[in-house]
Amino acid sequence: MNGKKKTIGSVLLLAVILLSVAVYNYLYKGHRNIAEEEIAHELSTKKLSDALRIDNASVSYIDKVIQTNGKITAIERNTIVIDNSVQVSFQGNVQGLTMENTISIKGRCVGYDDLLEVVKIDQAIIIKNN
Amino acid sequence: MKNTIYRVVVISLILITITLQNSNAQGKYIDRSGKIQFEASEALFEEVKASNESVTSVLDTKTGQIAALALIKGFHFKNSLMEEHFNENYIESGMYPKATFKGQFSDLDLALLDENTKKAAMEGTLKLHGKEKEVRTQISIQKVGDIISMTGEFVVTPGDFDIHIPKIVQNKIAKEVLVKFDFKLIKK
Repeated sequence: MNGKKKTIGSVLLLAVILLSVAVYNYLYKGHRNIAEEEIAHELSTKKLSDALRIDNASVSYIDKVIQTNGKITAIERNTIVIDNSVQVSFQGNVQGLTMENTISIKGRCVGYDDLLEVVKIDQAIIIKNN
Repeated sequence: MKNTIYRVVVISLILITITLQNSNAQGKYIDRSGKIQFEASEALFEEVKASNESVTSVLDTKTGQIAALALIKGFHFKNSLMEEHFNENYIESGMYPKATFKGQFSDLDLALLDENTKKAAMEGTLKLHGKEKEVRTQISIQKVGDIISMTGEFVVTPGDFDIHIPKIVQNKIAKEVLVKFDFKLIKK
C-alpha cells in the first residue's frame, strides 16, 4: 500500500515537473535563428523590391528568410544597401565590405520602407563577398 | 566707369557665394538606422519593452519637415512569445506593417544649428494600426559637421490607436507607453 502511494506520488511529481518545463519552454522559447533557418526564397534585389513595392504587406516575403545578391551601393556601420533597393542589417559586426563589390546575403525580410523606397532585411549573414 | 563694373562684379560674386553657401547648408538629412524604443512595463511584472534599430528618418532642412518610418516587424522584444503576441494580437503587423510619423518643428531655425544642444518643439501625426494621433513633444537637437542628432520621447496609449489589451494581461501592461527615439541624420 505504502509502495503504491509512493509510485503515484512519484508519477504526479514527474508530471508536474514535465508540465512546468513545457510551460516554461512555451513562455520563454528562444528567438528564431535566421542564420540557421532554411531559405524560403532566393531572388534578385529587383524582383524582391518590385514585389514589396506593389504589396507592402506581402505575406510571401515578410518575416521570411530571403537570399539575394547585388552590388553594394552604401555602407553605414552595420548596414549596407544593395543595388540602391535593399537595405541589409547584419547580425553583429562585419568586416571586408567594399563599395561596388558584389555581395550575396541571407536574412529576414522585415518589410518595405516607402520613405527611402527600399526593402529592409535584418539579422543577415554574408553568403559570398568578393 | 571701371570702378562701377568692378563693384558690380564684386557684389555679384558675394551674392553668388552667399547663395551657394545657403543651398549647401540646406538639404536632406537621412538616417537609415535610427533607434526607437518603447516601454509599457508595470512594476513587479516582466518588462514589456521593445526596440527597433533600423528606423528611417528624413529631415528636410529647407522646409523643416521631418518624416520617420518604422517597420513593425523590426521591433525586437527580449521575450520571443511577447514579440509574437505583439505582432499577431495587438498591433496586427500582418495587416499594418509600419508606423509612420510626419511632422515639423514649430519654432526652430535649422540654419542656426550647431554643436550646442538645443531644445525644440516638434509636432506631427503618428500613424499606426490604421489610426492617427497628433503628437507634440520637446526634442533635443544638435549638429556636428554633416550630422544632425535628434533625441526625444513622448507618451501614447494603446487606446489612441484602437489597440485592445485583453483583461487577462491588463495589469501586466502599463496604460501609458513611453516611446523614445534617437536619430542621427547624415547629410545627403
